[in-house]
Amino acid sequence: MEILTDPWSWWIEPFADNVSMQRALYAGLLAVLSTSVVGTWVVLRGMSFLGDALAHGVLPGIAIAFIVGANTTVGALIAAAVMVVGISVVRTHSPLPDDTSIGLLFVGMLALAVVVLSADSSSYTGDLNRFLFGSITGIDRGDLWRQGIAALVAVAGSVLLHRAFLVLTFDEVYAEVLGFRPRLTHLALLALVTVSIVASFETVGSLLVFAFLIAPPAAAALVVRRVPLIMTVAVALGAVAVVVGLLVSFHHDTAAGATMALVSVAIFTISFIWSAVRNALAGRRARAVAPA
Amino acid sequence: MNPPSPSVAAESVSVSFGSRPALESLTFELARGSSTALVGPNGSGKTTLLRLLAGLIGPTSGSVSVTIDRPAFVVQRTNRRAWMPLTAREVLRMGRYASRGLVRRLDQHDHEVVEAAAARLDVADVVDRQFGELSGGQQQRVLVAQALAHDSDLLLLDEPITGLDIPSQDRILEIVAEETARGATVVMSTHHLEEAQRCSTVLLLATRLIAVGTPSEVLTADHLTAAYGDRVLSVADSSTPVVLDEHAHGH
Repeated sequence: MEILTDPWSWWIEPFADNVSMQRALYAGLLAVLSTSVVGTWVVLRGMSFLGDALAHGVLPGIAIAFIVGANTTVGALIAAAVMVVGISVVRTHSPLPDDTSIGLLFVGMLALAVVVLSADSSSYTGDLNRFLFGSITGIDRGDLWRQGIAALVAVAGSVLLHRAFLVLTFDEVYAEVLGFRPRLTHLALLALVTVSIVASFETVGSLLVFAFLIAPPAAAALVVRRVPLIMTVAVALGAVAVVVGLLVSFHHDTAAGATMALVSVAIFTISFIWSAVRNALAGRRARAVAPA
Repeated sequence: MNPPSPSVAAESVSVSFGSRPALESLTFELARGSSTALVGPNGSGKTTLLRLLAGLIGPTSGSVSVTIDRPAFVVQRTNRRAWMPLTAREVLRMGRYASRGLVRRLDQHDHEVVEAAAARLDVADVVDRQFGELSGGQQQRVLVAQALAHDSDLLLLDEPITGLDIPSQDRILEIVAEETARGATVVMSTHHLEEAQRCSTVLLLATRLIAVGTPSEVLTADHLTAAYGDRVLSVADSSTPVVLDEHAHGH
């Protein structure tokens, strides 16, 4: 158990002189910052499926941009815009429930990405893998800059629009009464979700982006009960997932993106068990104090 | 003495959703400082009229003039996320966003307005609890306090007491009386004819306007039959007819 007996070589050494591990750490932490803050609203507003669809739906944009040699970030943003417009068109012009329109766009975009990348005699299969699972060990300065700016946009947007998001999540009609333009607010939230997804995408992959969008905020929402606190705790839990995930991946040679995603879901599981036990104990105490 | 200028004036107002008429050619005025009960069966346009007065929708034809800026509107308690992490105090503070907007800080005055509103609705002792964990009556009193925190002179309430415990009902109806006494205009929809009788004006709706006036002028057997059809019972030894009501609906 090196993790306990020799903490230096398990926890610290992998980062000490290893530039690619350091960059992976920074990229992961920046991804956590933007996704956890924005993801808190995704969880509270109950739009996880939309978040998932967006995280995977940007793939064809990246794939096409990659093949034609264009900027993949721009490709991803265009694909996200197509998703959002497509979902709202199906929603307003058909009686189908929301998750159906989201699911259709989701699977359509994912299939398109696979078809595009497999068309040219499968020479891009490795790239599809990279987009899905990320290549966190191959991060350059440009990636870090992009993620830093995205984190800044996500955090600044969440602070400036805090009241709008809070009231929107509480009651859309009341948001209208206050003059907060609920539809525009919803679009602004989707824009922030898109920014944090797209910026982190190529480095950490769509699987990890989605895990970070949902798991840390969900874990935090079970243990604290104020929105700013949930965001703070979510960022902290996400950071733990990044560090632990990277180290497990380093020591055991597992896929970095998937390992971090797995650790973040494991953290959610621990938080879930902890809150369930706490609620059960509180219930028992309440019954003991106030006999019926 | 001139009569007080109306705070709401509607002139042949109609609202349709697609091809479905929700309100047909309503003409009425509501005086400043009056309390008005909107009465009528489900689907008669009560909520639509409140949304119209709140400025959330516009008329399809005709005109409506509301001379009071930024009315406060308590919507029906149905579409909120009960588990959302939010204290009652945070819900009350939203009322101040009406004048503070998206980013301006709440100052001492805002906090005083919020505390005063909480005290008036008897919820001062629960403001630090999670909103979703309060009882239905407490939640509704918090929402009425939230509307008071708007500090508006037009208070719109959509079925504010339906399904509540008696103390909560009483407190909210007392607030309506207090608000009109200080000169505010109150409009509320209701299924309770008794509650309507405590208002200065009753507006009886069945998509079109059946009658508007004082409770005794409007709540007659003939008018109620026109609005509710055969669900009206005339009780021999009472001057007030009884409506077989379908409240406690869940939309």
